[in-house]
Amino acid sequence: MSSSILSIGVQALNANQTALSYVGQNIANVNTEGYTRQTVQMSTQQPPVLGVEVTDIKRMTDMFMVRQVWADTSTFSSNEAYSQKIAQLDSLLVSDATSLSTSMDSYFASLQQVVDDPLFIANRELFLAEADSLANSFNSFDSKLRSQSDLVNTEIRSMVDSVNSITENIASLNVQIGKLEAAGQNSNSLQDERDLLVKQLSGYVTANVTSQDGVTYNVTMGTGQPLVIGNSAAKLDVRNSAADPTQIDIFMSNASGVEARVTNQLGSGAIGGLVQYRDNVLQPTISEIGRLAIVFSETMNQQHRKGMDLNGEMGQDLFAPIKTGQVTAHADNESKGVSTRVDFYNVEELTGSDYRFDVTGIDTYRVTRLSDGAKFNLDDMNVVTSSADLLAAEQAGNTPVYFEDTVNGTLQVSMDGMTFTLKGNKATGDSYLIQPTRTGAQLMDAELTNPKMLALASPLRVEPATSNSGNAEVTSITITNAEDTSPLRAGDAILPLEIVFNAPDATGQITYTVYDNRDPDNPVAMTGMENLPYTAGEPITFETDGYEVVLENQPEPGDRFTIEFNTDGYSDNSNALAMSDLQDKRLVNGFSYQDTYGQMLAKVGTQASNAEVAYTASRAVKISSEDALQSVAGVNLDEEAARLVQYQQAYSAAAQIISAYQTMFDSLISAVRS
Amino acid sequence: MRISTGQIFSNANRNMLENQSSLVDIQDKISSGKKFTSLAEDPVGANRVVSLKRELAQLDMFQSNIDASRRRLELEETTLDNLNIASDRMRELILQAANGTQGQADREIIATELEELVEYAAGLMNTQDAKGEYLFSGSRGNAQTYVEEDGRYTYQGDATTRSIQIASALYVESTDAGQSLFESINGEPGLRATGAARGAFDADSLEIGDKDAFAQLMRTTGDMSIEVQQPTPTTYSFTLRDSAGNVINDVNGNPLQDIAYDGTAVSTVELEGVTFELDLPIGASYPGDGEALKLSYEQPQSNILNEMMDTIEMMRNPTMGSEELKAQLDERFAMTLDQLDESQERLSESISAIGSRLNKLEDAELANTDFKLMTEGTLSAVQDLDYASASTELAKRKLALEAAYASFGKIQDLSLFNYIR
Repeated sequence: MSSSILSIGVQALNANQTALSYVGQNIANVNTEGYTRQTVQMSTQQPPVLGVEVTDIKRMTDMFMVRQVWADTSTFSSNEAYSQKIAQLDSLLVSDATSLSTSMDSYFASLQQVVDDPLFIANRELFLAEADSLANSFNSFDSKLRSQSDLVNTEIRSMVDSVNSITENIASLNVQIGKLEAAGQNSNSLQDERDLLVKQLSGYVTANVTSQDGVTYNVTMGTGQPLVIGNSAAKLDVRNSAADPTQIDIFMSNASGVEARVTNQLGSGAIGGLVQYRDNVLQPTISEIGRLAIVFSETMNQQHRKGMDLNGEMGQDLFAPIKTGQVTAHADNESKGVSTRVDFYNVEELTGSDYRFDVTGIDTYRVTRLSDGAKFNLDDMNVVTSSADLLAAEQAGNTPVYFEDTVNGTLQVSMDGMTFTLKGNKATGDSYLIQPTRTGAQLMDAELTNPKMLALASPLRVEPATSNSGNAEVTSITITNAEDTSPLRAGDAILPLEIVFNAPDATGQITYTVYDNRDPDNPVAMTGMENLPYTAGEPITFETDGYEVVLENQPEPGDRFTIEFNTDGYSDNSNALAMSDLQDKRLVNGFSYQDTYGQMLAKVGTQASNAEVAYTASRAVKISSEDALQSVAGVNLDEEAARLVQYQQAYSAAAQIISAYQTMFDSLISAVRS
Repeated sequence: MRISTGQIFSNANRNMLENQSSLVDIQDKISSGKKFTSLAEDPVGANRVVSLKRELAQLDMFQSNIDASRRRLELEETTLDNLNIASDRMRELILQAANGTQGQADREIIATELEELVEYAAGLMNTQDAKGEYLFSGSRGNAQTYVEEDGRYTYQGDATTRSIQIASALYVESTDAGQSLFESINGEPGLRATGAARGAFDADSLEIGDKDAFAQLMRTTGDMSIEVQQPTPTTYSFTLRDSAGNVINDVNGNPLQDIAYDGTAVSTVELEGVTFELDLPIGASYPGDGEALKLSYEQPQSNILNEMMDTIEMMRNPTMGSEELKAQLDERFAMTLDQLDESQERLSESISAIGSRLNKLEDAELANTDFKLMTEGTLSAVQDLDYASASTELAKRKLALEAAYASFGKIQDLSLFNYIR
């Protein structure tokens, strides 16, 4: 038994020395990220042997808390990435310098200058310059948004690269830790390293860790795709999207080479946040601005074409016409060489959403509006049997409606102001991405450059005869058809005409007759326009030639008004006035141009503010779960100082045991010697 | 609860950073003067700012429209005033010339001055604005308002006026067309025949007994149409109908229906205040059953320039003591004075109309100014920072940061190691 005192002393020395060195390790790593404090576990030797032994170096951690931190990190990173990006967009939108509304204000202000003085060429030039600068504002706004989109895509690429290197490291740490554990060696620092890697991974994607043997981490991502299984890591890959080649998609291939698209299955994490930002904020904003550009260009053009320019011609397009949107066939479609297009039949009804056209079966199709997910099965839609009927239905607003021309194999679907046309084979499962307004802001361009070609005057002049004795007066002349083929533009409208008021009929109703006055000596009453009852304020419609005249107040029998081409009437400003009136008209699906812009600001603002709230909340959650973990796993220097003293004392005491043993031994020897 | 040393430092650090960033945030607001520096802070406010700014921009636009219209209307007013003065002088001269004691030589002198005045008046009517646009040409602003050819002044413009928006739902006419301003002298009323058999109406046969009754008649009938029937192969008759298809009664109340004619003598139609002759066709030139021609009322308009030129020409013709010529001249003078009245009446009507439009501009300007002040106030309430509360907030946040500094200073040197040496 005597050897045991020495042995106890030595064991105690060793044990406390080990303990001291781990106190040192803890102190040394007080600022090391991911470090988990370690404590030395001591226990008595198995009886009957006396003494102490170090049974374990324990990582003072709590797996539940660690997992909590990982999960909270994912949520936090997602919100962080999303809110940082949206804050950039926010600061772009909030600035007066880039405000499209301010640009529109200057456009309309310079339009008023030409309203005031339609003949003055300098004003006309100024207005054209403003139109050009408005188009440029739209272009540069769009390009800023697009470059942000590119930036987001680049960031996603580099994050995916990081994910790949992290998962490889986790897989290799799995192997190393397994080896060390099998050999009964301490793998604590490697475990710290691995936990830190999982935390980093959680920053990019949602990472779920399962560990069946308590040694190896198996990591799955988001909705359950395995990222790391034992010693093998799956690889993520970024490629152009099959549905929309301008965007990128994330694919995953595992060790056996199976590949899957996982863009929307990453869960939260920064990549998820960026994808969400790109798909839910940035792209819709680009489409929204595009819609505004299209509606602005087209409605301005429509009105401008109704005017007469300084050469006495009907107006041309003021802005480059934007008549079509963008359709992309899915890369995996079975039918190739199908021709598709999307045209606008009424820009005022456009929504700014993207749509997907799916061939759901044999002769069954579906259109999905992506902004709200509304699904329109063609089976449930109105159907027409000719393209003329389709046009009529579009004009009457009886949409959605479709027309299938079995002879040449075209299918046309009209809804929300646009007509999607598909010509060719329709294989089940094929899909087409329809982006009516995505390119609008890019395409906006002020086309007219010659100030003399600004069509500010009305092409028609309606004047009372000097002998009129009634009070009737002209209140408005509205051009309803200014198409390329319209009689007014082609110059073959029946003009001049004369509206002559007749004596009251048997019921006391005053009537009018319209005469074709091309031969003033022999006026001919126009067919269908004889003895029509007159109601003040009701438009007198000239259907074929495409215009309407409104008279107010009461005429007397024999009063007459002539309608003629507004030859030399260049000082007239009525079309300019009509163009400037568009500013307050509800042309963008029920709202004015600038209201639409304001609503877009409010929408992005609300999204940004929600993002900020979510960011702040998830940050607090993350901090508190990190705090909780730190309070278990973090090093406290005061605690270590106390331990240091504690183990130092034990160490000295153990040394005393050896010294006592020596004294005992010496006493024994000297007793024997004497 | 156990706390790790790292936590103590990172918490202190985080608190200081947070306090710092909120301090910078409020400082940012104070230096920009804006209540919110991002949309996220007030999405609804951002939307309202857009529409309020649009309203302000529109109000500025209206103001510049008002200024432009006022300049133009004031120019019109001055021009018309001058024209009125010129007309007064014309009247004086005519009165002078009409005085029986004036000899031919005196009339000659007066005629010369009148001629000068006509030229002056024509010059006023041809006024151009600063940018060279003819003020009174209606929508034909490039065309000189009155062009003189062989002593006749012809109006080149049209009757269109230009409206300009001066408030959100208020438009004002910023121009007046010479058609209504100057073509103010009613000429002799008459009838104009149109249609296949228009030649049957002889304008020279028209005799107007009572202008007012004639005008009144035409105002009730509208365009008259003359229908021709051929009841038998050799007999013809005509019917006079008003524009509603009713048969017109002659001056004695007899309906002018199925009046026979044979082509040898003209038919005389006697109506209220007017008589005229119809030489309706028969035989080969007969156009068939139904409407043969239409008669519509016309009253050509003339301007004072031309009337004055006619008077001047007459004044220059020596009367040579002829009583008849003298009487004609006196009649002409009397008529000219009436015409001057007519013309001046129109001018003063127009001047007062311009005055009322100027008042409308004034009212709109006042209303717009009020509205602008209100909108600016609202805009300011939406987007401008409340400096008082912001500086309080700044002080508060500064205090918080200082407290964080101070407390960190207090705990940072606490360590057991300091006590166990």
